[in-house]
Amino acid sequence: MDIFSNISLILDAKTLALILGSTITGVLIGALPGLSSGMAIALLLPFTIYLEPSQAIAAMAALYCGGTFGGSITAILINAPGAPPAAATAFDGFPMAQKGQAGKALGMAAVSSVVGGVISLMVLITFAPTLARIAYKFGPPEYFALAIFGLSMLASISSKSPVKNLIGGLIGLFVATIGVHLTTGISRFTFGVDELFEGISFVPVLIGLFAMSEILVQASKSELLLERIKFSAIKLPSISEFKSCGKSILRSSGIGTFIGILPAEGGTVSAMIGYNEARRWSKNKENFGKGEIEGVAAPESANNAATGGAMIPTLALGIPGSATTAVILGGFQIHGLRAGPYLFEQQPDLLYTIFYGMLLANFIFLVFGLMGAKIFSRISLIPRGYLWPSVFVFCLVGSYGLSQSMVDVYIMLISGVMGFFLRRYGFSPAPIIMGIVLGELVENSLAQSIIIFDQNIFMFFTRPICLLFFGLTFLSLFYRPIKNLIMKGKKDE
Amino acid sequence: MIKDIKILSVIIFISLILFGYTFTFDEVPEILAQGMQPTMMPRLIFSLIIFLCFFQIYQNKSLKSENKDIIKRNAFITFAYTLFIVLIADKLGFLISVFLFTLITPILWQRKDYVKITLYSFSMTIFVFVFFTLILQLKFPQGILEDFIIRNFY
Repeated sequence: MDIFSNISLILDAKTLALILGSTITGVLIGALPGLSSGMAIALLLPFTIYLEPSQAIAAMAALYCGGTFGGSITAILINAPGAPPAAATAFDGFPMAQKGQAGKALGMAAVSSVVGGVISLMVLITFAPTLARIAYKFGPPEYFALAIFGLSMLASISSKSPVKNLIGGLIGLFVATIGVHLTTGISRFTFGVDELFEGISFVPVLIGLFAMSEILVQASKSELLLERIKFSAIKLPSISEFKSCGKSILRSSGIGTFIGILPAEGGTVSAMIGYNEARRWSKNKENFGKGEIEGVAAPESANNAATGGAMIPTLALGIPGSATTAVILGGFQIHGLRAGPYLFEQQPDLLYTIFYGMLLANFIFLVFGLMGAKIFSRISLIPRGYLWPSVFVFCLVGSYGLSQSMVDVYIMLISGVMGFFLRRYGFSPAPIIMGIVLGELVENSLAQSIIIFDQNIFMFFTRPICLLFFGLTFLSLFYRPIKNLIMKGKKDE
Repeated sequence: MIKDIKILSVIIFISLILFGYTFTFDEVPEILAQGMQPTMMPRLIFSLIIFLCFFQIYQNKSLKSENKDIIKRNAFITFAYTLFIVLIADKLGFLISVFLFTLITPILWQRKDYVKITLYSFSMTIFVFVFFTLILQLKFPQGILEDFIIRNFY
């Protein structure tokens, strides 16, 4: 069978060493707020030119896996997700760390990430061509319906007000409209600042909303006695805890793989939906947001499952499945490769190298994550007066690094202040981020759909996949109010 | 006072201003806009934000505002100092800015171990220089150190 015979593709010392090094680098860089795996790959891209194409692409894929997991480390320990997909992990991971269960949260994140990653890769290896064909059927109307469904899910993210979450998502959508309108070339909300013509970069906003605002929150506390997060015992999760999260992990792995396959939908959306579904079906839903271990397992398995899923449209269609895979596509071009349907036929060896590279990366960060959990846990024992200035340094470097522009640093700072006040009034930063992620997709797919439908928007309802997503949107928005109404009616009777 | 009315009013106010600002955008001929003017999406977004804010105010009408913790003086000082560092980073250079930030912030946050703070500050600056500038080759604004760094390290 091809799957097993091709394992020899990565069994040479240089490839193995590259995958090992890339995974560990990915975990470490992913752990640093503001330095995502996408940025790491972008920075390392020029150095891969000296490698064989298959080795370079496998190394980038491994770095992607490691970076996705690495983001959870700082999300759990200091409430500053190292990468966007780890944002949902912070909802329960950080409260667990505050309760002295950082080791448990990190251990659960490592295992659930591996399960999610391996499941998605198995799906890829076995069903890649078929799944690619399904994603291939999505046109602009389907993407629009999908993005609306993703936004509607904001109504039930985290324990905060659904309406505030929706407002946050809309604020994110607004941020995504800043810059030159692609269809017409009209600049919107740029206020004469040239650097804003290309739009607001996602990375500085993310760093500002999560990390910078946290620095300001921490600054408010510094006049108190230095209270450290206590680690009376740094324990890894028990077997029974893994078992109790089994269903959530499997469900989220499925969600992550499916969402990851859909182009432009990456780990962040998967993690949010995975988290939300785990809460919906959990027996302990009232504990979510307060340090529930299932709230760590679900988003971690989902976001790592999305890495495998996201590689499908990237490889099969040449459409990036996420921001990081967009950078990997750049790597293909550097090496003279062209991702797309022909890649499956012409260079099957390359695809198997990538699959095995990612599979191996998952097992490497399992070992590295579990062994390092106790060490990583120590990060939050660093006195606040040293930890948060260091975080700011990474915010500064991370927000500047991607475009090498001071405007991004100013955006990071403004986002930080905005995030600080919004959080103070019960708004979560995650919906804003999701709004920004989906903003371009929403507007572009709507514009394309309007052209396709000759300005008759009712044509949306003639497409079965659109109808399915609109139905799901309706359910996610109105399921709870309808249920409450029915319950109230029953009580009145 | 109704819960969250202040923040929601601020959001409504800003949304109204930005909604009004969309009227300054250039009109695009229909043939180019193809059914979707550049103002359509922002106006739709602001309308929804304003609607949801009013809905939230209505939903909260029976809830009273809770007394929030006062924002500590230290948060303002930290923000002001951060802003200062960001503004001078371009002129003084990232390395000096990092050094100044990591040197003063711990003191602002009531740490008194000055020797450790100085060591920490030097270590962070050296780390940033070695890892980001020398290893990852990120080109930061080096400000007044630019000539020295170019002469000795490139």
